[in-house]
Amino acid sequence: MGHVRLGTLPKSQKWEQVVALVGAGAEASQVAAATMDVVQENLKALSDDPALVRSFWLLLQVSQASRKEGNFAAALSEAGVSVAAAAPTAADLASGLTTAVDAWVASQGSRSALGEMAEMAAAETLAEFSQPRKMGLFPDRNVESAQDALAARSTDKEFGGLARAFFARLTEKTLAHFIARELPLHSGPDQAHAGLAGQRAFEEGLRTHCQEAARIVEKFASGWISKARFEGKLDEEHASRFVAYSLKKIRDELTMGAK
Amino acid sequence: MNQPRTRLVLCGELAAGAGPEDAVRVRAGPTSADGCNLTVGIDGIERCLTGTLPPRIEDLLLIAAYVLTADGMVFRGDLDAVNLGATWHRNWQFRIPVLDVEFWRQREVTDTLCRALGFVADETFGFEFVPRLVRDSRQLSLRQPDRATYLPWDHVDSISLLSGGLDSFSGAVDQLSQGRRVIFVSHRPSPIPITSQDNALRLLNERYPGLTAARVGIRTPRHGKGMDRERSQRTRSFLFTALAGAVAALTGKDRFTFYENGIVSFNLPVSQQVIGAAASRTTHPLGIRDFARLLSCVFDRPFTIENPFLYLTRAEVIGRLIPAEMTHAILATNSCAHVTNRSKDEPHCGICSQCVDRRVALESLGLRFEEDKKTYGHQLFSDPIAKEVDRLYAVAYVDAADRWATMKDPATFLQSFGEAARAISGALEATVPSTDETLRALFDLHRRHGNTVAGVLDRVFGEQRRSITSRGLPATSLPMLLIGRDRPESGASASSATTTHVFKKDGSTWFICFPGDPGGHIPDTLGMGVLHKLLAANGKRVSVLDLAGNVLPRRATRDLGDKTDAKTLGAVEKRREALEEQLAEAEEMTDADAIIDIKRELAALATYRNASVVPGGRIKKENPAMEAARQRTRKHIATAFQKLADNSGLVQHLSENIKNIHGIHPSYVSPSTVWDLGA
Repeated sequence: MGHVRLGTLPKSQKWEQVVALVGAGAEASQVAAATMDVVQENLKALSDDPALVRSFWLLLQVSQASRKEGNFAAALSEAGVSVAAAAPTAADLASGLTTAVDAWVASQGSRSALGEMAEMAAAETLAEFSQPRKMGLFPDRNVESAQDALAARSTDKEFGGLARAFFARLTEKTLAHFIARELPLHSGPDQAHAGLAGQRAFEEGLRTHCQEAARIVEKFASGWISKARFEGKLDEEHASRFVAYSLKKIRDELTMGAK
Repeated sequence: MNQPRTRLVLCGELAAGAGPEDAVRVRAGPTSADGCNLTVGIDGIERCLTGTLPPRIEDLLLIAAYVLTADGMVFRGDLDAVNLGATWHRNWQFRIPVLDVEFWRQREVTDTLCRALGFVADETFGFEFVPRLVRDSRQLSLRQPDRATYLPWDHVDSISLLSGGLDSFSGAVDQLSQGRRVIFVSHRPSPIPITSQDNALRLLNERYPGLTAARVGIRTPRHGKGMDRERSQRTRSFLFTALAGAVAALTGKDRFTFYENGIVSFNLPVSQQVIGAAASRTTHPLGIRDFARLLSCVFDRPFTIENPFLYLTRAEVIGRLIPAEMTHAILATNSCAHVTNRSKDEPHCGICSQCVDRRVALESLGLRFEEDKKTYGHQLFSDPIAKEVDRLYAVAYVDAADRWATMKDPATFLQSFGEAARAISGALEATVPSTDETLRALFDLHRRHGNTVAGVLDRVFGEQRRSITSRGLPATSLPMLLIGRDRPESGASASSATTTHVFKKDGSTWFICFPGDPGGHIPDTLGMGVLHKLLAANGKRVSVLDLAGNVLPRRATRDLGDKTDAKTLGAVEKRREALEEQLAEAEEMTDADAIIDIKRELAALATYRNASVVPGGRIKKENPAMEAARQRTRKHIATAFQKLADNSGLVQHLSENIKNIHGIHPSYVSPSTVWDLGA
């Protein structure tokens, strides 16, 4: 493997609770709440991170472009995402999105860890939502193209699901960024998270918990996009406000989650 | 959002001039005299290529050396920094004297340079180029007094980087075994890699005599203190690229080759703590593509950088040495990332990322050597792993490999590793034509690597079964770290955490337990009951009347004055204003749940105000029972704290987390703390 820079959690009083909970084999929800307790002020200050907002904005733009009639690649280009293929696949879209965010970040000098996590969350969400689907017993209902798959899940009504998936991934990445500094240290036969299976179980619990926490975004995201479009406010500035608000709601959910 | 402050780097002759106090200064010279802190020596070019570097290429080499040197002079933060990259992402502004200033000032050139470095280092770069007044060619050792034209190099087939590691060695064998004549180019950082490079070249010359056309090395020793504050060296590939590019230009080539297996080149994150270039992008196809674009600008013709091993695993790369009958040379190579701290007798640490991958790859091929015990400081499959960061890596390495091996298809792979989406755009221009085929190739590459690791571990577990089951291996050895067991019975998950926080009634006493405190049984007092009620309502406000309900008699006392005061009413008004703002925001977001909650709190505030103030604005008189309960609750909590004096950690925790402790609605708020409060 290439060089990888890994670190541990600081041996400070602030992180003591997180370390104790991981070491004791606490549920993911409790570790998530304790972690959020420590980092939420930092995260709050970063909620308008330009690369974070840009990643979400481009995800939103690509999803909206999929609903336009006519040339999809041209609509994507108009949205700021270039793809070579006339009929882009899920991989084209995800790759195009990262290229666009990277170029923007390079031009703005806005590199940040949260922005990087958001970019990856956006690419993964886009790959998931634009994956063609086979309908088993009903082949006539197969969704054959990435555009059709994405368009079906990008209506105002369905937008809540897309937003939830993005914020769930981002939340999981953010929490795991810290927790992964401790979790493997408790691996072993006499430890709380024995072996890879023990770690996987915890990580799966964290993923589920983040998806649950992000459910709150799904509740209002559809209403927001519909209202923003109606009022002519579907722009990056208002998307930025939506991102900050969504993150605040999830932080509140997580810190309340262990009660 | 806070951007990192910009670091000004004054280079060359500017380093001796005026500038901000915190400016980084890098000046190249043959020795540390005259304030020089860097030497750039290209010993092989002068001797073997007998050419004069064009000014633009001399600039390129110096720029690369300046960047790498400055990279090492500014710390990127401790390994336990948890500031979301605040110190990791540096912001550079280089001011560099160059010979061909018109060229370097071109927007396309500067942009390409910034983009390439920005990606590999995960940082922001800016460059300002000024005319170079002093051409101190001594420092480059490239003098050619008669400025002779280049020698013909038509007999050379390729330019190739040789690091002294296994991948580049296998690449060299690949080329020479095909009868190709090669110029090898090396960075010569410290004694062990230099020895490895020399030994590797000697073995290659013995096996393929006459095919090594030349060998060029560059040394960049740094002088003085503070030159190695940062050891990540993410910009080092720029120096390798510049050097190999310079050699290619001198020999009339339009390409060079390096050899790195795809797992290392793509370097997908093995752990969720790894963000961006925390996983090195030294040979990532995106960075390499941008460096090739830069060299195309510098040489004014299309230039290509090739990595023929991009879709091979390390095991597959090493496996190519077997038919070439060169496996005996493996011992001459060095892969260790900690090579500067190693001795000649034990050149590999055995536990860094490079060593782990090397051991696993060799093991998968059944390539074991008698010297292994002496070669590696750590025996990967049996020794305890002492350092936490090494344990983190070893487990993460296996975990990532296991995920890749069990990933069902390319689509799932892409949805799980966003970094793969980024890799696609870099690899697309390499060898595979379409995005989906590139994704498939990436997926297959990682799955093969995963299967290799799984195969090795299966073998290790088989061979060491007895030691593992009898716990004969150290608890922190890799095999023991990986073995699982059933989840613990009742102690699992949340309840095991609760055993560290206990506050429950035990007969006529209270049993308490808090991390770091002696704990034990505490005599019953009214205050202990109050604390217990607060803990039970974790996160909720509790009326002192309810707290006092079972503990304190409700009784009227003397006239206690006003029901509230101006200060409290001011706070209520401030809260109301904040809620009105939140309500507007929630309405903008169409957040129905939040709207209901906020309206409910606004109504409660209105109720409080109405209960405290008469319509004319005068403050009502206090409810004496409430105030009595408040005072007694406060007194009994203080008494309980005295009883708990030996458990200072618990007292401190409660003091910090009981909100409004002197008010009529105190609350204990610590969502992450789980208490065993008894029945």
